[in-house]
Amino acid sequence: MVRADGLVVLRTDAWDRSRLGDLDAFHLVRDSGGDSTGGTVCLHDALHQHDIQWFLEGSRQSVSIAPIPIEGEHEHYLVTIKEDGQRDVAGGRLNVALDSMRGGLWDWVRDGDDFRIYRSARICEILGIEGYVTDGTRDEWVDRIHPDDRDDVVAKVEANFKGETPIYIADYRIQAANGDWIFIHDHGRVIERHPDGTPRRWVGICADVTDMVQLQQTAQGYKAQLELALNSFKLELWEYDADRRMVYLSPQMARRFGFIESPCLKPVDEIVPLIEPSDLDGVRIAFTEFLNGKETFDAEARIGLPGNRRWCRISASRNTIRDDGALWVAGAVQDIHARKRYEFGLIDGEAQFRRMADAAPVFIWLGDQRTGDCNFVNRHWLKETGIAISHLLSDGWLDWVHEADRKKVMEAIERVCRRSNSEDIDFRLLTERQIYAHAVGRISIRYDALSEPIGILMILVDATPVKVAEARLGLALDAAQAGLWDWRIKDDLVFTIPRTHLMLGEPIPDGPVDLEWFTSRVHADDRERVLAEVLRAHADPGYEYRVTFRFQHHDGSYHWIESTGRVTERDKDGNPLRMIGLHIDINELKQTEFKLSKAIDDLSITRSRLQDMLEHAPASVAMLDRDMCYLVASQRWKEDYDLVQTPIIGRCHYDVFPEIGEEWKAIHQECLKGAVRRCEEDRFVRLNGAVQYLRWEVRPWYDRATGEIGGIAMYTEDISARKLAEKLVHDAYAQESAIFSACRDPLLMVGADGNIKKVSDTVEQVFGCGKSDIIGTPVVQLFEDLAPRLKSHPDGSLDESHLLGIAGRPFEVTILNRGGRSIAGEVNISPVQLPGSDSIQFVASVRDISDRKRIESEREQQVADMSHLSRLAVVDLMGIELAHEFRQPLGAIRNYVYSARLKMKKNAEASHVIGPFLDEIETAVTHMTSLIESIRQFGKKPEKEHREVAVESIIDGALNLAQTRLRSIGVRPQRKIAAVSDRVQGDIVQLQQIVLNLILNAADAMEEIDPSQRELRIYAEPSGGKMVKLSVCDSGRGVDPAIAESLFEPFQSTNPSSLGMGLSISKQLAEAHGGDLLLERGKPTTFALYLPVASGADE
Amino acid sequence: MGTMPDKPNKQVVYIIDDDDDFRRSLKTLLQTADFQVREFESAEAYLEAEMKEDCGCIILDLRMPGIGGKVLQRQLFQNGDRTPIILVTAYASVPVAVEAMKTGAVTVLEKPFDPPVLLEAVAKSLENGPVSVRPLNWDEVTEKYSLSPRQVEIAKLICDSLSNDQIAEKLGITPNTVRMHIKLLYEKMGVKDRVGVAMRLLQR
Repeated sequence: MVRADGLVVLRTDAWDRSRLGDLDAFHLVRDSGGDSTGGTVCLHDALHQHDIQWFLEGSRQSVSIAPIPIEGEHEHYLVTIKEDGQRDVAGGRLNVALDSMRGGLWDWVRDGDDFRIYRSARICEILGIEGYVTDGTRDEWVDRIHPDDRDDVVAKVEANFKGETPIYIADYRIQAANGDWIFIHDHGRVIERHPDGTPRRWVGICADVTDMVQLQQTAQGYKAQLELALNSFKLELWEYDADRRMVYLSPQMARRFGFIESPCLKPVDEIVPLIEPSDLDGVRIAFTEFLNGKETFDAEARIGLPGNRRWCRISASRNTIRDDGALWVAGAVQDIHARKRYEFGLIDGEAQFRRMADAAPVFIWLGDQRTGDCNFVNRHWLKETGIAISHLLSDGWLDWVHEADRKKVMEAIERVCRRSNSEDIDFRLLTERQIYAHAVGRISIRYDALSEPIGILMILVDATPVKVAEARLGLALDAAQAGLWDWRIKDDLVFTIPRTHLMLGEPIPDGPVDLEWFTSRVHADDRERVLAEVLRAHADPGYEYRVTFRFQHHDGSYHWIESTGRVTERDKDGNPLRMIGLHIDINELKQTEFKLSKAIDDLSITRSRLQDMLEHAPASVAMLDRDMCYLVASQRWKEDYDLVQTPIIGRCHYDVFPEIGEEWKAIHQECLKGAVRRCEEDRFVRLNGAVQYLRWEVRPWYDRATGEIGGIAMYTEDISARKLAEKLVHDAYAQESAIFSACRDPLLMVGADGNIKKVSDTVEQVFGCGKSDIIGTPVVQLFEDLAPRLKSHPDGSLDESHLLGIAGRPFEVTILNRGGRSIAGEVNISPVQLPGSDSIQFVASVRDISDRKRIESEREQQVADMSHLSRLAVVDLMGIELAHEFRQPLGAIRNYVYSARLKMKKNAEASHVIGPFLDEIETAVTHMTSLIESIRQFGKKPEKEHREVAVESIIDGALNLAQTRLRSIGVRPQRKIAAVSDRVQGDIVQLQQIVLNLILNAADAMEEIDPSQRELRIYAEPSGGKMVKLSVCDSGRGVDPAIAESLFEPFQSTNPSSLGMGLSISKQLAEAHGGDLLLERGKPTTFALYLPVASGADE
Repeated sequence: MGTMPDKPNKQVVYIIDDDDDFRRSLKTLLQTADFQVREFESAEAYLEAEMKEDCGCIILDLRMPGIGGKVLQRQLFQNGDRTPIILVTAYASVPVAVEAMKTGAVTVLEKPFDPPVLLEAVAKSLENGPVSVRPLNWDEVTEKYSLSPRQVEIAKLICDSLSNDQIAEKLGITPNTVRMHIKLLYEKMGVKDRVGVAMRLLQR
């Protein structure tokens, strides 16, 4: 039924086939469902629940079908067919939608294993199928699906067929008719089933999503590339979406924050805790400012997981706000941890340095390296001077420097500033106690870790204690009535301090005395004993030399002297080099001893006299009976043992001194049996805790009446004062150690034997090995060129005279660094006459001057280049001009010679006569040609293409050339060549030129003198192993002293006719050969040409 | 000894040199060797002279007062005069040699030269007649001296008067390698210096 408006109302069993046209095809499908009277048109179900409208493909009609609620068995549908131009809006929209999806409809009706399939136009086009409806199997479709997707699609279809999934959705690739793989998004469902549940009808739509997939793949490719780029450049980027409060982190960034996914998108709240809390405020402030319109965002903060945070610079710039107005910031993060740490390190380092400086017990001063102004002094300085730091800063501190030293100090600082070197300094500094401290130390430049100068450093030690100690030592020695002696065995010199001489009753001599002087004054009876003791001390390293002897005063009287000492220095074979010790005047004591023993021996002396005598004896003496009871004790004894107030006579010794131990009692018993015991040095701790050093002797005395031992006599001497003196000597050494460790340049303490005794901590950096590796080694092994300078004994051993020979003047050496480097160094050796018991030594300060040397050598090179350039200019001009001028006549001579030869061919006789002359001429011309060539070559920088040349051939060649000239003045040259010096390294032509020059000069110089006086000698001899000295001597008029200085400069000549280039060029040639040309002083006039000996291997 | 012509040559050898001594010695030498000789004391004198003889070869001094050898040679060359020229100079450099060889010189001799070398050069010039100038064929040179490609490169740069260091820099090799190649080059070409290399390459 078709309504007037074109609507057709139909029952499903009454299709108006004629009207439906192409819809017919659809009906065929439906009809084949088997129900001829009225299958249900459920087509719309595939799309909508309610209605369906679409264009009939291939026609200009559009059809819409909608269910009509009519009662009855069958559902009724309203099918609206609209003619061309009246397309339904809904239908058009579907069509457009499908088109834009590049997709279409499909409708499968199952019939057994086969399907009748309807496909809309687009699908048919893709698959290359003719006609919309085809019969086929599912496999035909499945076969066209990409093998990788096939299983997935089949599984999804099966699931939908079985009703496991309500909707079938699949994405797959299918092969188009043209062979391309098309990406399909498929969507459908079973809309009708057989009674047994198997699907009857399956409808859906599909879309060609190939472009989309490709686009997506491309996008993914770009993204991967971008990420790769980000990764490979280690860029750390972030983006902040202010609306969502989300942060995107690039892979590197995500890793920094410890996120596993990278890159990642994180809420900002998760990021904030990863910034160090103390840095967070700074970041927040900066970011807020940025959001409020500041051009850039820039903050430094520690970020990362707690415990592993690193300093980073976070930054962003304004132009990262997105177009659509949403706030979206992109920025970067840069790791600046190393820089930050360095910055902090510097600040820390400086603070730490100042803290250390404050703690150091030395004076430390820091200043500005440009102005020399003081900007810091350490606490020790403040404490010692008692001045507030504000008064010391800038140049205020100089007010406390001794006026006489002020200029010196200022100049030294200025020099250090200017030259960036370091310098030793000493001055007097006024201390709080209003006395001047002797400050000794060094000013140097401070460098940071990057070797940038950051200031001047002055470290000073208060050397006053050393000076005081020296004075105290003198006093102590005085108190101990002792004098110091120092015997240098090898030189046989005895140095004594003045006190010794006074003690010996001698006027103070100007210098040291020798042993003979000494022994001649020893009493003849004691001499043998003293010598024996000395020899024993020499032989036995551990032996403490101690001997008493009588020494003759200049007035003839003898004094008792006790001499102690030991060998302080030995050479490597153990031979003694030096002995140091003390002389103590024990005359008084000895006198007492003698008197006492005499008294004891002398019966005629009464007990009371004995007692009287003993009591007033100047020594500590006590006499005891067999029961160890005091018979008599001297006043000194009582004083020494604090017994003045205690009655002791008659009391037992052991009651008086209960602390006396068993060993003493044993000694006493032995002596009571006749033994004599003595000890030169014994330590006693008295009851009151005081420590005394005693020298004692215990001996029996005999009762003259019975001849038996009546008891013992004890002599003791308090030698504590002497021990104190010894201790002070040791203290002096401790002071020296302090200076040693305060010095910045390495210091070496060198014994007189040349071995290293002690080194400062800084040796390591210069010598490349530890302190222990250096101590004990000979100092010559540390420097490459020290040994020849020292002029040691032939066996290589050294003594202090060698070291004294080079002391006091800094000299340059090559430091043999154990790390294999050669370092240029400067060494300054100073002798140290230390007071007290140890030997004279040498302190060598070593300075690394490699930087200075490098700069110097660069400068020298520049100067050399400059002079070479100027030389080049001169030689270029003169040489080439001259060469040109010479070449013409030389060429002419050659031509004539050759012409003569051609003529002579026809005349054999002439050839015999004239031939040799022509040979000579030709030889000379050839030589001259090569000379000219050499002169020209000389203008070029010489290349080291030297050969080994026999000295003989140089001399003979030159003499050969000079023959005529020498003959003309009637000189027969004498030549002498030492066999050792037979080969040198060089260019024979140039060398011959030098020698020829010298010979011709000599000939000129001899022209004016009497022919019989004319004498020319040429000789060669080795010089210093690596050089050959080739001398040309003449008996001529000599070199005018007025021009001797400038002799080797160009245009200087004593010969008016010569060009004056000879000696200048000769010297330059010699230098170019690594040698030299010198005029020796005196007569006869001798020019010495030094040339390096050939190294052996000919190149 | 050089090749001596067995019979007197009709062709005349011109000597153009300002140095009287040298010119006369040269004349004596050539006459002794049975060559006909005519001498000129300057380039100007040569240009002004009336030429009656058949000039077989010119021995030309490079440095002379007046227009000098170089200008004269270029002038002759531009005028189409292809008389062989033996250029003599006190100081032969590569640029001088290259320039001379490109404008028709058969050889460049450095004073003082060995007389037989000159005689041979003269004899050869007379024998070969006028010079034919054609562009240098590197393939030919390469084959003639069996040079390696690197040596050819170096030889070219030598003709451009580059120093060892410059060559090294240009070719991106070390100066030592350059020296080694040059040494081989000298050996292969039988010369002893760079001027020799340049002359050998440009010789026809």
